[in-house]
Amino acid sequence: MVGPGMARPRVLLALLGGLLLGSLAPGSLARATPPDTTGFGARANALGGAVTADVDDGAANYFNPAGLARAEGLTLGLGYFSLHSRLSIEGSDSEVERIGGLELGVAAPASFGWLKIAFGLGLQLPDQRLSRTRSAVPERPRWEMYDTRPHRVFLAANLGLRLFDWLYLGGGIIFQSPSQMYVEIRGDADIVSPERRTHLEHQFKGDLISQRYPIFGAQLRASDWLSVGLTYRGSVTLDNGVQAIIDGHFTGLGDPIPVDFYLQSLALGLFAPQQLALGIALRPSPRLRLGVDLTWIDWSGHGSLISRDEVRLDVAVPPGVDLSIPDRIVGRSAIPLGLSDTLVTRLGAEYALHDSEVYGLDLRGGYVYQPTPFPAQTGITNFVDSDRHIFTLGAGLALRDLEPTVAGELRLEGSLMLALLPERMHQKRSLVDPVGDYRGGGWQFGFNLGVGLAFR
Amino acid sequence: MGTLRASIEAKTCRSLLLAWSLGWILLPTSVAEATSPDLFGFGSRSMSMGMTGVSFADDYEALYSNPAGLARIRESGLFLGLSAASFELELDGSPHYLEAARATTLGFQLPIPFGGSLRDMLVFGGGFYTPLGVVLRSDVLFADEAQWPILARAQSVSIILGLGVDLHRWIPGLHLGLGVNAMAGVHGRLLVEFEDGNRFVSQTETQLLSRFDPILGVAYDRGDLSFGLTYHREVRSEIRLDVQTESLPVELPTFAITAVAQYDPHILSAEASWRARAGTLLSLGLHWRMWSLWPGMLEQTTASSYQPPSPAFHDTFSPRLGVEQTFSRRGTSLRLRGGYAYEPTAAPPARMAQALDSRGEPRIDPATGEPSRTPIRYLDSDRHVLTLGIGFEHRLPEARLFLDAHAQLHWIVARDHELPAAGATTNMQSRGLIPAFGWTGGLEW
Amino acid sequence: MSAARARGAILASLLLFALSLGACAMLGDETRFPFRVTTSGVGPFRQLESYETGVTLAPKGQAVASRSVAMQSGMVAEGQLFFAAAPMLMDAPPRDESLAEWEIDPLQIEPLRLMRARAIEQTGTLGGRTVPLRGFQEPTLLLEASEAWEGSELFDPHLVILDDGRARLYYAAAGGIGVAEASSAEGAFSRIGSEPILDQAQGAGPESPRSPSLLRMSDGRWWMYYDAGDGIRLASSEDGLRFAPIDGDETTAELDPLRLEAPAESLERGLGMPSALVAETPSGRRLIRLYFEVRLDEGPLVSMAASEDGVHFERYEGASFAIDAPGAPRVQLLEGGQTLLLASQARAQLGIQLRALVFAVTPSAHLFADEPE
Repeated sequence: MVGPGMARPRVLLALLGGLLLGSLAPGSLARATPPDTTGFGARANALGGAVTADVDDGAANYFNPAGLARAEGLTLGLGYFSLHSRLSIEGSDSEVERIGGLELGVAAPASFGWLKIAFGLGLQLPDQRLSRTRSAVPERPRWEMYDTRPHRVFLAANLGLRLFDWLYLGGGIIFQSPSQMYVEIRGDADIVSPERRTHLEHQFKGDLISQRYPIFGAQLRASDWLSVGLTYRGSVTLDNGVQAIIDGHFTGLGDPIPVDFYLQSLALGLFAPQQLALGIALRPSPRLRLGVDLTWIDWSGHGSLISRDEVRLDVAVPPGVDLSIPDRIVGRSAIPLGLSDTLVTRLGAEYALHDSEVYGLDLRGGYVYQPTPFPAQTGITNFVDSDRHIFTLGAGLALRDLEPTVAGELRLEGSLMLALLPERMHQKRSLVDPVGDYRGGGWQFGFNLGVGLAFR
Repeated sequence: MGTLRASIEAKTCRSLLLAWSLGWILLPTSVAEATSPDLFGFGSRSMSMGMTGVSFADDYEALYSNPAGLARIRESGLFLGLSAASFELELDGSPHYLEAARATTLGFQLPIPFGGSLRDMLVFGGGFYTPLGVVLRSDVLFADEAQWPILARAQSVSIILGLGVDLHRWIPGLHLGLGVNAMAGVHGRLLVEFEDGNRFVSQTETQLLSRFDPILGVAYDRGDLSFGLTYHREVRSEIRLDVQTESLPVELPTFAITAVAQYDPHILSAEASWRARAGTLLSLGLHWRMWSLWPGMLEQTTASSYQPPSPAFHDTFSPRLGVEQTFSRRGTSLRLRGGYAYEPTAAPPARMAQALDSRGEPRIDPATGEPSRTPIRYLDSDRHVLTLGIGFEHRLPEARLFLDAHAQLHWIVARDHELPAAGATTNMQSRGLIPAFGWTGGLEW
Repeated sequence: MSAARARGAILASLLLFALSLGACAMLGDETRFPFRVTTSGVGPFRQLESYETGVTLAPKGQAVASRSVAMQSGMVAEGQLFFAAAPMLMDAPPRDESLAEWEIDPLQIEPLRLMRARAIEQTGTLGGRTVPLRGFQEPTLLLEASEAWEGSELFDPHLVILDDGRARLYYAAAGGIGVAEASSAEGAFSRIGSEPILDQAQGAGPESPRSPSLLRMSDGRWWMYYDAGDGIRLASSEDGLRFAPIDGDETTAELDPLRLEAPAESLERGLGMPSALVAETPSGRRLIRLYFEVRLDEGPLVSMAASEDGVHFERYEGASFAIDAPGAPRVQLLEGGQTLLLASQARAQLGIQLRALVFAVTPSAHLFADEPE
């Protein structure tokens, strides 16, 4: 029988567990895939993202929520990231848009006796937009991983838990939004003077529907010099649908000509594959930290990126009217992508150049090998991608003698990134492919600057 | 997850209640339309006290009611809630369907632990208001279709961030607050080309753009009295979808499918509250909503198309009353809450309105020489809102635990309109009820 | 560090990053959709603008300004235009109503003859870029029918340049395909022999061969694709003068045309008027691309096929060029990898169908001159 003395912590555990589950509430937590491309946090980026094992600041909201409970006190971070791409196809610049924006990371731990929990908030807000989706046309090659996919907000709120001094757990729910849109237009369109005598009106129905999938993380501090971390992110598939109806008349050629147009397009807006990351962090000396991460990404479950279109156009052209209307209209069908799973390797090193009660100065470097999941585009699709070799460099300055205003430290951090995408040949099976053979490759340059407060 | 839920159910009665509520979260995703903070309030305490809180809010709820209230907070906190509402609407005696709503609320408050002269000065908070199903619903219908534009406002993930500043060092009791309400709008392009081989090729791009609308607030505490003043800038979620055509057999102008899918008007709120005696709180407030500035949902489809008729909404003044009685004993408190709000309608009755031409001038019927009129069937009535709630607080050695529940009943007064529904012969009559309820759990440390 | 300096450092740092809050997902810039990339030569071909051809007193893309001259087919070589044309008769008889509206009525024009025109000089007012092709002017007579086997007219010219600089002009006539030679492309052409180099008697096909298109292969042999009435056929030669037909389908015992089956559900009545080129893809594959006229009830269009061995082709199911009933395609690979097409197109004058030669290019984004302001 449970006595009063034992009931309270168990009730608390139950309620905290409920809060943890509650934090999994759909729509209250959000995460997207952009940090897979841009990273998150200046320090983590400088270390090549090899921080799953021991991340303990706002970047834990992406890399491993278990690390939230590892923070000593409230940690606030604010930064700016940017990634420029110079990618080309057959020597022509593909004009992949720069992605950049604001980053915010919060880790707020609290202790209740032996139990320590932490709440975390991570936000990556692009300059241009919250999200962008684009339909894919088979004959228009595009850099699938960089054209649209990273243009999305990343918002995460997680909970971390320190069960023991050596074991940290964390979790959250990832949230995304597919859309369904319906547009109806009615009225008259004048063929002779469309700009002046067209009278149309429209109504619109649109839904962004929330979907959710889990994320879990764990960190194991085996000793002062060895930590191991594990993070799992579930997958999500978002289908975007557009339905358009035009019900009206063409005018200007005598009697009004009835027009009935119908378009339905169902496209895969986003597929975020499930991922499993294993990380190890070593401290062979008090000043040196080494990290290595391996991340398995389940790309093979990716559906077709080509929308399924149904198009119908009915125009009752009266005899004697010279109006050429196509008698056969063909929509598109889904085409399988044939992606393969990938294993991303991350290496990171950090060295404390100076470490005193007044300030600390760290130097950081890293390397990432990100193989592409896309096969060479030998068929009708043209989703261009190459392996990615990423080299990172960074530094961090911590100002410590700030009491009484700040019982902790002020951190200034920066990182640079250079990614090389070796040129890759795409040779078509068909000799009369609408696009033909082509080569694609290029490079990317990025930076991340951040300022943070870490209270003790 | 299922095993953990079963484990919780085995523990205590409170856990059973929690698990039942959590069952909502684990239900399959369905399309739903959620409550709006402007319709129902934000947070269980405010929602059970006649949607008051401008003068006395002292937790994450202040993010919406009055960000200056954040400055009263001295402990970090995390809150999670669920709410639901059902729309029992009638049109000419028959049910008029509007989907029921479910939403979650997540709120947090973080006093920034500066020391020295910045001690106890800054508090940062955030609130996430998220529908369980639909994140953004935008139904912008033809004006001649019967619809409830105020009740059926598009929902959106609402993110409110705020900062409260306590100026106690200079003026004891004075607090300032700045909040930001992040809203999303849709901007898209649909390019339809006609390629050789009789093939239509469409390329679509949709962007979700953010918009940040400020919430400014000031609060002042003096003895048993508290005062609050808040300004919410209008919140708009705009949709623009440009439909462009190329190489079609006929040349068509660019269609601009535009709409103002979500609109909360400018709101100015004033409120006073009085702690009449130990444990009793009375609040009285007035909200001025500037609906006259609403341009309507629809816009022109092309430059030469007729403009939609003006909705001709007018400003409203909404009085609110809230009461809370607290009973405390040995670290545990029970709070009973109630309130009333009167929400006058901003909409004129459904009617035949003046038709407009492409420049917004009155359209004249060429056959008769008389002004043309067009039906506009926006339905709305005055609402009387009764609220009830209960709150539980338990003090732990290092934290405080909260559990609040609320219930609301909106009575939509019967209204006779000036034209019938499409195909009917007698003028429309509308009425309805909206029951709403929910709960919030939280922890402060 | 003093508390005041600490506060200053904190506020300064936060202020610095407050600047980065400026954009915050609000800008929504619209950037270009991914543009079309094409290296396969399948098209679609874009008809050139007048400022690109330099021919301004004619509909766009036209190679030569011509108001009263029927243009049957032509090709560009060595900076000159070689084409078959004939002026319309001043008192032409009524049109033969059994002909399709896009076809030339031979009774309304004089007999076709071979012509040559020189390139228009580059001028500063039409753009400042040196281009290998501009419009053409001052056409001169090259050859007209004189041999017995030729009948009354000559058409379908095709020019090749030999290793020593001599130019050979292959052409079609009533009795088959003949050849003339000159010391250079600018020189005077003289017939080689008095008989056709390929005709029905030599097994060229069920009808008199026409529309020759020659390629010099890597082994030095000449391959000639031609129209034999029942499709497109192939013949080869050691010297470019004596040709032997090649079987297009080794599964049958007969000498067959190339297998270029129509796409499923297609209503084409036949195909012909071939033009071939050799292209190297970005992956290093050498392909033979064959462009041809597809005949449909509603009008002809131009399509293509590709092959690695020149005999077995994979056909493109779409249309490479379909504007205004195009036919008689002639293609040329440019230095930048673009494919230039010269095709005849329906063009009526005073009720008489004359057709005109127009230029088109793929990839369509390639411009031969800057658009004038």
